[in-house]
Amino acid sequence: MKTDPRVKLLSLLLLTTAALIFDRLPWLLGLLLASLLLALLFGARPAGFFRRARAFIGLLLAVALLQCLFTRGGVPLLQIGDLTLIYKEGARLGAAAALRYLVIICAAAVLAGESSRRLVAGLSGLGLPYTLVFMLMTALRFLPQFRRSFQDAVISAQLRGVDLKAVPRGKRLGFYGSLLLPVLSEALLRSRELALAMEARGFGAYRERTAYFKLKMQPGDWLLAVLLAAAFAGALILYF
Amino acid sequence: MIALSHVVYSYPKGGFVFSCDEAEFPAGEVTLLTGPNGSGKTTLCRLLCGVLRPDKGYLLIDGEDATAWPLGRIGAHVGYLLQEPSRQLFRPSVFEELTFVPELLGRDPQETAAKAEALLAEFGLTRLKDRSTLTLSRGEKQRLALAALLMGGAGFFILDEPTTGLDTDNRRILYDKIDELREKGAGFAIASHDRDLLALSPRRLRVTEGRVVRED
Repeated sequence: MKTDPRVKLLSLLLLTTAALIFDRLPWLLGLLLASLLLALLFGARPAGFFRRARAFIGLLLAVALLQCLFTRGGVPLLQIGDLTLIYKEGARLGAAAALRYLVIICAAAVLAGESSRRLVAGLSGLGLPYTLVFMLMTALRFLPQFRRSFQDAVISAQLRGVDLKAVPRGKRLGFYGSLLLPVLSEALLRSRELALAMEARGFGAYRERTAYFKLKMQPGDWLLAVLLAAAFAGALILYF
Repeated sequence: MIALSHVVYSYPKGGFVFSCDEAEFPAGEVTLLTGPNGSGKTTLCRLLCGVLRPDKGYLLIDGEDATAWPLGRIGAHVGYLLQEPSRQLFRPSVFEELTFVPELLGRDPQETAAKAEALLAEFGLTRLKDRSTLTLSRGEKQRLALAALLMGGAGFFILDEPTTGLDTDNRRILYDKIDELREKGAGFAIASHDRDLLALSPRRLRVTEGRVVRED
Protein backbone atom coordinates (compact mmCIF):
# COMPACT_ATOMS: atom_id res chain seq x y z
CA MET A 1 0.00 0.00 0.00
CA LYS A 2 1.28 3.45 -0.90
CA THR A 3 2.04 5.96 1.81
CA ASP A 4 -0.35 8.92 1.92
CA PRO A 5 1.20 11.93 0.10
CA ARG A 6 0.46 14.11 3.15
CA VAL A 7 2.89 12.00 5.17
CA LYS A 8 5.46 12.45 2.41
CA LEU A 9 4.86 16.21 2.42
CA LEU A 10 5.27 16.20 6.19
CA SER A 11 8.59 14.37 5.92
CA LEU A 12 9.73 16.83 3.24
CA LEU A 13 8.85 19.74 5.51
CA LEU A 14 10.61 18.22 8.55
CA LEU A 15 13.75 17.24 6.63
CA THR A 16 14.20 20.64 4.98
CA THR A 17 13.47 22.46 8.24
CA ALA A 18 16.05 20.33 10.05
CA ALA A 19 18.54 20.97 7.21
CA LEU A 20 18.16 24.70 7.75
CA ILE A 21 18.48 24.42 11.54
CA PHE A 22 21.37 21.96 11.85
CA ASP A 23 24.84 23.36 11.41
CA ARG A 24 27.12 20.59 12.72
CA LEU A 25 28.55 18.16 10.18
CA PRO A 26 27.70 14.86 11.96
CA TRP A 27 24.07 15.99 12.28
CA LEU A 28 23.85 16.99 8.66
CA LEU A 29 25.36 13.65 7.66
CA GLY A 30 22.76 11.85 9.78
CA LEU A 31 20.03 13.93 8.19
CA LEU A 32 21.34 13.06 4.72
CA LEU A 33 21.17 9.38 5.60
CA ALA A 34 17.62 9.80 6.94
CA SER A 35 16.54 11.61 3.74
CA LEU A 36 18.00 8.86 1.56
CA LEU A 37 16.30 6.13 3.58
CA LEU A 38 12.95 7.92 3.48
CA ALA A 39 13.24 8.58 -0.26
CA LEU A 40 13.90 4.89 -0.89
CA LEU A 41 11.15 3.86 1.53
CA PHE A 42 8.67 6.11 -0.31
CA GLY A 43 9.46 4.58 -3.70
CA ALA A 44 12.25 6.67 -5.27
CA ARG A 45 14.21 4.46 -7.66
CA PRO A 46 17.91 4.49 -6.66
CA ALA A 47 19.25 4.57 -10.26
CA GLY A 48 17.07 7.50 -11.32
CA PHE A 49 17.67 9.29 -8.06
CA PHE A 50 21.48 9.12 -8.27
CA ARG A 51 21.41 10.10 -11.97
CA ARG A 52 19.43 13.25 -11.14
CA ALA A 53 21.53 14.04 -8.07
CA ARG A 54 24.66 13.95 -10.27
CA ALA A 55 23.38 17.00 -12.13
CA PHE A 56 23.71 19.02 -8.92
CA ILE A 57 27.31 18.09 -8.13
CA GLY A 58 28.69 21.22 -9.82
CA LEU A 59 26.31 23.45 -7.86
CA LEU A 60 27.19 21.74 -4.56
CA LEU A 61 30.91 22.10 -5.19
CA ALA A 62 30.48 25.77 -6.17
CA VAL A 63 28.50 26.46 -2.97
CA ALA A 64 31.14 24.71 -0.85
CA LEU A 65 33.99 26.53 -2.58
CA LEU A 66 32.42 29.98 -2.27
CA GLN A 67 31.72 29.41 1.42
CA CYS A 68 35.32 28.20 1.90
CA LEU A 69 36.86 31.19 0.16
CA PHE A 70 34.73 33.91 1.71
CA THR A 71 34.85 32.78 5.34
CA ARG A 72 37.91 34.44 6.83
CA GLY A 73 39.47 34.01 10.23
CA GLY A 74 40.43 31.11 12.50
CA VAL A 75 43.04 28.42 11.89
CA PRO A 76 44.58 28.58 8.38
CA LEU A 77 44.27 25.37 6.35
CA LEU A 78 45.69 26.32 2.95
CA GLN A 79 48.22 29.09 2.38
CA ILE A 80 50.07 30.36 -0.67
CA GLY A 81 52.93 32.54 0.58
CA ASP A 82 51.41 35.11 2.93
CA LEU A 83 47.94 34.65 1.53
CA THR A 84 45.62 32.29 3.37
CA LEU A 85 43.16 30.80 0.92
CA ILE A 86 41.14 28.52 3.18
CA TYR A 87 40.55 28.60 6.92
CA LYS A 88 39.39 25.63 8.99
CA GLU A 89 36.08 27.35 9.79
CA GLY A 90 35.57 28.15 6.10
CA ALA A 91 36.10 24.50 5.14
CA ARG A 92 33.64 23.40 7.82
CA LEU A 93 31.01 25.89 6.73
CA GLY A 94 31.59 24.99 3.07
CA ALA A 95 31.04 21.30 3.78
CA ALA A 96 27.96 22.12 5.87
CA ALA A 97 26.46 24.28 3.11
CA ALA A 98 27.00 21.58 0.47
CA LEU A 99 25.53 18.92 2.77
CA ARG A 100 22.54 21.15 3.53
CA TYR A 101 21.75 21.53 -0.19
CA LEU A 102 22.25 17.80 -0.70
CA VAL A 103 19.78 17.02 2.08
CA ILE A 104 17.22 19.36 0.46
CA ILE A 105 17.72 17.63 -2.92
CA CYS A 106 17.36 14.19 -1.31
CA ALA A 107 14.34 15.34 0.68
CA ALA A 108 12.62 16.40 -2.57
CA ALA A 109 13.07 12.81 -3.78
CA VAL A 110 10.54 11.59 -1.19
CA LEU A 111 7.88 12.79 -3.64
CA ALA A 112 9.53 11.12 -6.64
CA GLY A 113 7.13 8.24 -7.04
CA GLU A 114 4.01 10.32 -6.43
CA SER A 115 1.40 11.10 -9.11
CA SER A 116 0.16 14.66 -9.56
CA ARG A 117 -3.42 13.49 -8.93
CA ARG A 118 -2.53 12.13 -5.48
CA LEU A 119 -0.49 15.22 -4.67
CA VAL A 120 -3.39 17.51 -5.59
CA ALA A 121 -5.69 15.41 -3.41
CA GLY A 122 -3.11 15.47 -0.61
CA LEU A 123 -2.56 19.23 -0.68
CA SER A 124 -6.33 19.87 -0.90
CA GLY A 125 -6.78 17.49 2.02
CA LEU A 126 -4.37 19.64 4.03
CA GLY A 127 -6.78 22.53 3.58
CA LEU A 128 -5.04 24.47 0.80
CA PRO A 129 -7.48 26.17 -1.61
CA TYR A 130 -7.91 24.08 -4.76
CA THR A 131 -7.10 27.05 -7.06
CA LEU A 132 -3.73 27.45 -5.35
CA VAL A 133 -3.00 23.72 -5.57
CA PHE A 134 -3.99 23.69 -9.23
CA MET A 135 -1.73 26.69 -9.96
CA LEU A 136 1.19 25.03 -8.17
CA MET A 137 0.80 21.74 -10.00
CA THR A 138 0.38 23.48 -13.35
CA ALA A 139 3.52 25.53 -12.77
CA LEU A 140 5.46 22.35 -11.98
CA ARG A 141 4.10 20.65 -15.09
CA PHE A 142 5.21 23.53 -17.28
CA LEU A 143 8.76 23.71 -15.93
CA PRO A 144 10.22 21.26 -18.50
CA GLN A 145 8.57 23.27 -21.28
CA PHE A 146 10.15 26.49 -20.06
CA ARG A 147 13.48 24.72 -19.91
CA ARG A 148 13.02 23.64 -23.54
CA SER A 149 12.01 27.16 -24.50
CA PHE A 150 15.20 28.55 -22.91
CA GLN A 151 17.30 25.90 -24.68
CA ASP A 152 15.67 26.86 -28.00
CA ALA A 153 16.51 30.50 -27.30
CA VAL A 154 20.17 29.67 -26.58
CA ILE A 155 20.40 27.56 -29.75
CA SER A 156 18.75 30.12 -32.00
CA ALA A 157 20.94 32.92 -30.61
CA GLN A 158 24.00 30.86 -31.47
CA LEU A 159 22.59 30.14 -34.91
CA ARG A 160 22.50 33.89 -35.47
CA GLY A 161 26.27 33.75 -35.34
CA VAL A 162 26.88 34.22 -31.61
CA ASP A 163 29.83 32.19 -30.41
CA LEU A 164 29.16 32.10 -26.65
CA LYS A 165 32.88 31.95 -25.88
CA ALA A 166 33.49 35.07 -27.97
CA VAL A 167 30.92 37.21 -26.11
CA PRO A 168 32.82 39.63 -23.85
CA ARG A 169 32.38 38.81 -20.15
CA GLY A 170 30.77 42.18 -19.44
CA LYS A 171 28.04 41.54 -22.01
CA ARG A 172 27.40 37.89 -21.13
CA LEU A 173 24.97 38.60 -18.29
CA GLY A 174 22.91 40.95 -20.49
CA PHE A 175 22.95 38.32 -23.23
CA TYR A 176 21.51 35.62 -20.98
CA GLY A 177 19.01 38.15 -19.61
CA SER A 178 17.78 38.77 -23.16
CA LEU A 179 17.20 35.06 -23.65
CA LEU A 180 14.62 35.15 -20.87
CA LEU A 181 12.31 37.35 -22.95
CA PRO A 182 10.98 34.53 -25.17
CA VAL A 183 10.61 32.29 -22.11
CA LEU A 184 8.57 34.92 -20.27
CA SER A 185 6.43 35.77 -23.29
CA GLU A 186 5.69 32.08 -23.79
CA ALA A 187 4.81 31.72 -20.10
CA LEU A 188 2.36 34.64 -20.33
CA LEU A 189 0.82 33.31 -23.52
CA ARG A 190 0.43 29.80 -22.13
CA SER A 191 -1.07 30.98 -18.86
CA ARG A 192 -3.59 33.11 -20.76
CA GLU A 193 -4.53 30.18 -23.02
CA LEU A 194 -4.78 27.81 -20.08
CA ALA A 195 -6.97 30.22 -18.10
CA LEU A 196 -9.34 30.55 -21.07
CA ALA A 197 -9.44 26.79 -21.62
CA MET A 198 -10.14 26.15 -17.92
CA GLU A 199 -12.89 28.76 -17.82
CA ALA A 200 -14.43 27.25 -20.94
CA ARG A 201 -14.54 23.93 -19.09
CA GLY A 202 -16.29 25.48 -16.11
CA PHE A 203 -13.36 25.92 -13.72
CA GLY A 204 -14.53 27.86 -10.67
CA ALA A 205 -18.17 27.90 -11.81
CA TYR A 206 -19.38 26.66 -8.42
CA ARG A 207 -18.22 27.74 -4.97
CA GLU A 208 -18.14 24.19 -3.60
CA ARG A 209 -15.96 21.55 -5.28
CA THR A 210 -16.55 17.85 -5.14
CA ALA A 211 -13.80 15.33 -5.79
CA TYR A 212 -14.09 11.92 -7.35
CA PHE A 213 -10.78 10.86 -5.82
CA LYS A 214 -10.30 11.33 -2.09
CA LEU A 215 -7.43 10.24 0.10
CA LYS A 216 -7.93 8.61 3.47
CA MET A 217 -5.15 8.38 6.06
CA GLN A 218 -4.63 4.74 7.05
CA PRO A 219 -3.45 3.67 10.55
CA GLY A 220 0.03 3.02 9.10
CA ASP A 221 0.13 6.58 7.71
CA TRP A 222 -0.82 8.04 11.09
CA LEU A 223 1.81 5.92 12.82
CA LEU A 224 4.50 7.02 10.36
CA ALA A 225 3.50 10.69 10.69
CA VAL A 226 3.69 10.47 14.50
CA LEU A 227 7.07 8.69 14.34
CA LEU A 228 8.46 11.34 11.99
CA ALA A 229 7.24 14.20 14.17
CA ALA A 230 8.62 12.49 17.30
CA ALA A 231 11.98 11.87 15.63
CA PHE A 232 12.14 15.52 14.58
CA ALA A 233 11.26 16.77 18.06
CA GLY A 234 13.74 14.33 19.64
CA ALA A 235 16.51 15.45 17.27
CA LEU A 236 15.88 19.10 18.11
CA ILE A 237 16.04 18.40 21.86
CA LEU A 238 19.30 16.46 21.47
CA TYR A 239 20.80 19.10 19.15
CA PHE A 240 20.16 22.00 21.48
CA MET B 1 25.67 24.39 -50.36
CA ILE B 2 25.11 22.20 -47.36
CA ALA B 3 25.07 18.43 -47.41
CA LEU B 4 24.74 15.37 -45.23
CA SER B 5 26.90 12.38 -45.94
CA HIS B 6 26.32 8.88 -44.52
CA VAL B 7 24.63 10.32 -41.46
CA VAL B 8 23.14 8.21 -38.69
CA TYR B 9 21.57 9.76 -35.62
CA SER B 10 19.73 8.07 -32.78
CA TYR B 11 18.00 9.82 -29.91
CA PRO B 12 19.61 8.94 -26.57
CA LYS B 13 16.31 8.13 -24.81
CA GLY B 14 14.22 6.77 -27.66
CA GLY B 15 14.38 4.05 -30.22
CA PHE B 16 14.04 6.49 -33.16
CA VAL B 17 16.96 6.24 -35.57
CA PHE B 18 17.47 8.70 -38.41
CA SER B 19 19.69 7.89 -41.36
CA CYS B 20 20.60 9.62 -44.57
CA ASP B 21 23.13 8.31 -47.10
CA GLU B 22 23.58 11.44 -49.19
CA ALA B 23 21.53 14.63 -49.32
CA GLU B 24 22.56 17.90 -50.92
CA PHE B 25 20.96 21.26 -50.44
CA PRO B 26 22.31 23.62 -53.11
CA ALA B 27 22.52 27.39 -52.83
CA GLY B 28 19.97 29.27 -54.91
CA GLU B 29 17.42 26.47 -54.61
CA VAL B 30 14.53 25.57 -52.37
CA THR B 31 14.45 21.97 -51.18
CA LEU B 32 11.19 20.81 -49.67
CA LEU B 33 11.26 18.22 -46.92
CA THR B 34 8.02 16.29 -46.90
CA GLY B 35 6.76 13.31 -44.95
CA PRO B 36 4.20 12.38 -42.32
CA ASN B 37 4.28 13.63 -38.73
CA GLY B 38 7.00 11.96 -36.69
CA SER B 39 8.88 10.78 -39.79
CA GLY B 40 12.05 12.74 -38.92
CA LYS B 41 11.72 16.07 -40.78
CA THR B 42 12.58 18.14 -37.70
CA THR B 43 15.47 15.78 -36.91
CA LEU B 44 16.79 16.39 -40.44
CA CYS B 45 16.43 20.17 -39.98
CA ARG B 46 18.27 20.03 -36.67
CA LEU B 47 21.06 17.92 -38.14
CA LEU B 48 21.45 20.38 -41.01
CA CYS B 49 22.06 23.31 -38.68
CA GLY B 50 24.20 21.47 -36.13
CA VAL B 51 21.69 21.50 -33.27
CA LEU B 52 21.91 17.71 -33.38
CA ARG B 53 25.27 16.13 -34.09
CA PRO B 54 25.34 12.86 -36.05
CA ASP B 55 26.55 9.67 -34.36
CA LYS B 56 28.11 8.75 -37.70
CA GLY B 57 28.67 10.67 -40.94
CA TYR B 58 29.26 14.31 -41.80
CA LEU B 59 27.62 17.69 -42.13
CA LEU B 60 29.27 19.61 -44.96
CA ILE B 61 28.98 23.37 -45.41
CA ASP B 62 30.37 24.71 -48.69
CA GLY B 63 32.44 21.56 -48.97
CA GLU B 64 34.01 21.84 -45.52
CA ASP B 65 33.41 19.29 -42.78
CA ALA B 66 31.29 21.24 -40.28
CA THR B 67 30.31 18.26 -38.10
CA ALA B 68 32.29 19.53 -35.13
CA TRP B 69 31.95 23.28 -35.70
CA PRO B 70 30.54 25.25 -32.79
CA LEU B 71 26.95 26.45 -33.32
CA GLY B 72 28.08 30.07 -33.52
CA ARG B 73 30.28 29.26 -36.51
CA ILE B 74 27.57 27.25 -38.25
CA GLY B 75 25.16 30.12 -37.57
CA ALA B 76 27.32 32.46 -39.64
CA HIS B 77 26.41 30.30 -42.68
CA VAL B 78 23.12 28.60 -41.80
CA GLY B 79 20.03 30.17 -40.22
CA TYR B 80 17.30 28.13 -38.55
CA LEU B 81 13.77 29.47 -38.38
CA LEU B 82 11.87 27.68 -35.62
CA GLN B 83 8.25 26.65 -36.04
CA GLU B 84 7.43 29.10 -33.22
CA PRO B 85 9.17 32.40 -34.12
CA SER B 86 8.51 33.91 -30.67
CA ARG B 87 11.18 31.59 -29.30
CA GLN B 88 13.88 33.34 -31.28
CA LEU B 89 13.04 36.98 -30.61
CA PHE B 90 15.03 38.31 -27.68
CA ARG B 91 14.76 42.07 -27.58
CA PRO B 92 11.89 44.38 -26.60
CA SER B 93 11.69 46.30 -29.90
CA VAL B 94 11.83 45.32 -33.58
CA PHE B 95 14.87 47.47 -34.35
CA GLU B 96 16.80 46.25 -31.31
CA GLU B 97 16.08 42.69 -32.39
CA LEU B 98 18.01 43.25 -35.58
CA THR B 99 20.93 45.07 -33.95
CA PHE B 100 21.14 42.70 -30.95
CA VAL B 101 23.73 40.22 -32.27
CA PRO B 102 26.00 42.67 -34.17
CA GLU B 103 26.13 44.91 -31.06
CA LEU B 104 26.94 41.90 -28.92
CA LEU B 105 29.79 41.00 -31.22
CA GLY B 106 31.11 44.58 -31.17
CA ARG B 107 30.39 45.40 -34.85
CA ASP B 108 30.39 48.98 -36.10
CA PRO B 109 27.16 50.65 -34.81
CA GLN B 110 26.62 52.83 -37.90
CA GLU B 111 27.03 49.97 -40.32
CA THR B 112 24.77 47.81 -38.15
CA ALA B 113 22.04 50.46 -38.03
CA ALA B 114 22.20 50.98 -41.80
CA LYS B 115 21.94 47.25 -42.47
CA ALA B 116 19.06 46.93 -40.00
CA GLU B 117 17.17 49.80 -41.68
CA ALA B 118 17.70 48.21 -45.09
CA LEU B 119 16.39 44.84 -43.87
CA LEU B 120 13.38 46.46 -42.19
CA ALA B 121 12.49 48.08 -45.51
CA GLU B 122 13.10 44.87 -47.44
CA PHE B 123 10.84 42.86 -45.12
CA GLY B 124 8.11 45.50 -44.90
CA LEU B 125 8.75 46.13 -41.22
CA THR B 126 9.86 49.79 -41.23
CA ARG B 127 6.57 51.07 -39.80
CA LEU B 128 6.95 48.58 -36.93
CA LYS B 129 10.52 49.61 -36.13
CA ASP B 130 9.79 50.77 -32.57
CA ARG B 131 7.00 48.30 -31.83
CA SER B 132 7.40 45.70 -29.10
CA THR B 133 8.24 42.28 -30.50
CA LEU B 134 5.62 40.84 -28.13
CA THR B 135 2.77 42.62 -29.91
CA LEU B 136 3.65 41.54 -33.47
CA SER B 137 1.42 39.17 -35.39
CA ARG B 138 2.74 35.69 -36.16
CA GLY B 139 3.54 36.63 -39.75
CA GLU B 140 5.40 39.77 -38.64
CA LYS B 141 7.35 37.81 -36.04
CA GLN B 142 8.34 35.31 -38.68
CA ARG B 143 9.54 38.00 -41.10
CA LEU B 144 11.48 39.66 -38.30
CA ALA B 145 13.10 36.36 -37.30
CA LEU B 146 14.09 35.76 -40.92
CA ALA B 147 15.50 39.29 -41.23
CA ALA B 148 17.47 38.72 -38.01
CA LEU B 149 19.00 35.59 -39.54
CA LEU B 150 20.06 37.63 -42.58
CA MET B 151 21.54 40.23 -40.25
CA GLY B 152 23.87 37.52 -38.95
CA GLY B 153 25.08 36.87 -42.49
CA ALA B 154 23.53 33.45 -43.09
CA GLY B 155 23.22 32.39 -46.73
CA PHE B 156 21.30 29.18 -46.19
CA PHE B 157 18.03 28.90 -44.33
CA ILE B 158 16.26 26.00 -42.69
CA LEU B 159 12.58 26.60 -42.07
CA ASP B 160 10.58 24.20 -39.92
CA GLU B 161 6.86 24.28 -40.82
CA PRO B 162 7.01 28.02 -41.61
CA THR B 163 3.41 28.43 -42.80
CA THR B 164 1.74 26.91 -39.72
CA GLY B 165 -0.74 29.41 -38.32
CA LEU B 166 -0.31 31.95 -41.13
CA ASP B 167 -3.26 33.36 -43.05
CA THR B 168 -3.33 33.41 -46.86
CA ASP B 169 -1.86 36.93 -47.17
CA ASN B 170 1.01 36.23 -44.80
CA ARG B 171 1.72 32.95 -46.57
CA ARG B 172 1.91 34.79 -49.87
CA ILE B 173 4.30 37.37 -48.36
CA LEU B 174 6.50 34.53 -47.05
CA TYR B 175 6.51 32.65 -50.39
CA ASP B 176 7.47 35.87 -52.22
CA LYS B 177 10.25 36.58 -49.74
CA ILE B 178 11.65 33.06 -50.03
CA ASP B 179 11.58 33.30 -53.83
CA GLU B 180 13.24 36.72 -53.75
CA LEU B 181 16.05 35.52 -51.49
CA ARG B 182 16.46 32.36 -53.57
CA GLU B 183 16.95 34.47 -56.70
CA LYS B 184 19.69 36.36 -54.86
CA GLY B 185 21.47 33.05 -54.24
CA ALA B 186 20.15 31.93 -50.84
CA GLY B 187 19.45 28.24 -50.32
CA PHE B 188 16.45 26.90 -48.41
CA ALA B 189 15.47 23.62 -46.81
CA ILE B 190 11.82 23.80 -45.81
CA ALA B 191 10.00 21.14 -43.81
CA SER B 192 6.33 21.53 -44.54
CA HIS B 193 3.00 19.89 -45.31
CA ASP B 194 1.93 22.99 -47.26
CA ARG B 195 1.21 21.96 -50.87
CA ASP B 196 1.41 25.56 -52.09
CA LEU B 197 5.13 25.52 -51.32
CA LEU B 198 5.57 22.87 -54.01
CA ALA B 199 5.16 25.66 -56.55
CA LEU B 200 8.41 27.21 -55.30
CA SER B 201 10.58 24.25 -56.14
CA PRO B 202 10.64 20.92 -57.89
CA ARG B 203 13.32 19.66 -55.45
CA ARG B 204 11.81 17.43 -52.87
CA LEU B 205 13.16 15.05 -50.25
CA ARG B 206 10.74 12.71 -48.59
CA VAL B 207 11.44 11.58 -45.06
CA THR B 208 9.81 8.28 -44.10
CA GLU B 209 10.38 6.47 -40.82
CA GLY B 210 13.70 8.20 -40.29
CA ARG B 211 15.03 7.63 -43.83
CA VAL B 212 15.53 10.25 -46.51
CA VAL B 213 14.38 9.49 -50.05
CA ARG B 214 14.78 11.88 -53.00
CA GLU B 215 11.51 12.39 -54.85
CA ASP B 216 12.10 14.68 -57.83
